[in-house]
Amino acid sequence: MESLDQYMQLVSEVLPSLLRGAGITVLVTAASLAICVVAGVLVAVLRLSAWRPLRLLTAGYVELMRIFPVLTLLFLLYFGLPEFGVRMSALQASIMGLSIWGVAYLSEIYRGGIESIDHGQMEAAMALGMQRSGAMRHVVLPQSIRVVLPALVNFAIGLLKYSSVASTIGVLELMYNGRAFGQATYRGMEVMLMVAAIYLAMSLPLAMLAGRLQRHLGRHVHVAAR
Amino acid sequence: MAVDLAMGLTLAMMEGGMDPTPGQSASRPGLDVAHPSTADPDAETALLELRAIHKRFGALEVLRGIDLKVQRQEHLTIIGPSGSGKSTLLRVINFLEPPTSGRVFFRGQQVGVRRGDQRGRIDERTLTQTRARIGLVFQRFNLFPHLTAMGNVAIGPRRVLGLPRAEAEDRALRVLRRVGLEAKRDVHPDRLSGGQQQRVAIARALAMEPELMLFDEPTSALDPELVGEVTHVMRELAAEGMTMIMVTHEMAFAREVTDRVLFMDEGRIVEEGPPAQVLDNPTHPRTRAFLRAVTER
Repeated sequence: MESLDQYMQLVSEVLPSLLRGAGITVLVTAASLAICVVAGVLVAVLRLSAWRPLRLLTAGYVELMRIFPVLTLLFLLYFGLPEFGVRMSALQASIMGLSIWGVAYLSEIYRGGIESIDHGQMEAAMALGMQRSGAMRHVVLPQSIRVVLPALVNFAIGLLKYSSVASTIGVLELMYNGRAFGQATYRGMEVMLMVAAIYLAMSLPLAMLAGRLQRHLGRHVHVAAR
Repeated sequence: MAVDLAMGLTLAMMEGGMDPTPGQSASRPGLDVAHPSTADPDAETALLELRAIHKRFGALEVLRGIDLKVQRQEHLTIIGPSGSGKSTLLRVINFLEPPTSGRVFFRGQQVGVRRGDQRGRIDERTLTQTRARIGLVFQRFNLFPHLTAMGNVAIGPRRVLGLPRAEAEDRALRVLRRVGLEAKRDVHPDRLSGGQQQRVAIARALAMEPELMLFDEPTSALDPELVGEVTHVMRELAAEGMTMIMVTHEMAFAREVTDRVLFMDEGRIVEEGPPAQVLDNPTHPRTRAFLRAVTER
């Protein structure tokens, strides 16, 4: 059994690097999340489009991403694409990989949100003379974002944890630094506990934010009974 | 919210400017809302005309050949058993349900077809312009729950007619006053009674300054003591000369307000005429059976 002093010494040696890694983790997560939030809506709306080829195309992409491991995707982007002359940094590849996967995943969440809004809303908007796209933008989407928000925050938390796959292609984020220091100090268990604590500390505020936002935004919108 | 903003941007990109933006639509021909009383280019023609309308949902034929003319300032009531096609008929008028066959004319123009198009193809922009002139009030209100009463009423003038925000809200407030709900301007629909919600829904339609108002069982979802406030608003509208077509089970109201009653059964207009004739001395046995069932209830 080691003493508390020894443990505190390890913490003080390792923590700064882990926190630097955590910063990169946040960067990777935030960048992919931003892309997913925006492009996810696009894919969801396209998947509900009246034009069949567009529907099939987006459905194909979403289905493919569902069965395709993110790790494989990352390796293809980082090690595969250079053979076709497309080079990117490990950081760029990881953001892109997580986005390509996450957009598909999040678009399904959005689609559920859009479809949960009573059809009468779309009809009322169109009866006023709105085009389908305008009704979507001004009436349906503002309501579905409220429905979707809890799932969106869950997705963000998931993405934060998932971003650890970036360590496999050498992005110096939290997980990478944790493994490196664990091996260097022969104290893998202790270091990994610290890594876990940092992931937890980053996720908890998100989860709390979700609760508050949900109460605030969900005040007037009730999901249609089906 | 950042998320809201991002979504708005995405969709704005997708639309590629299809949506009316402020300033544009005001000058667009055909969207200037004319009142029935002002100079009327097609005074001869009926405001609304349906010709040989059929509507099929799969194997089910809901409308089986409807011909109908409605003059300006006329008040029509459609009655009939459930499943007779009354609601579908209303929804065919503004093409929320496009008819399977047959044609609809509004102000002498074929609904959904661009002026001069010989092939009669449906054009979405022409269609939305027609819908903007026809108000529809739903049985279940269909108010937008994320908007206040004022937001609900202002959204049409703002997003469809392209009025600036202040002007749209001015208009919304005027119309809310007309239905007696000015005080509820900042209240969301979930805090309003059913009767108040339906009055906001009527205000939402009126804010577009429509030439024709359609009411699809506007009081059927209301508690009995709330029916009066909605029929009161409708009565006033009728007195002001609004052209109205309503589907209703309020026979007393229909009798009082209506010029013409249509009895529908199995997708056809079985009998029509002034209320005194259709409601009091129906000639068709099916009309008699229906009225007997309704009054016994």
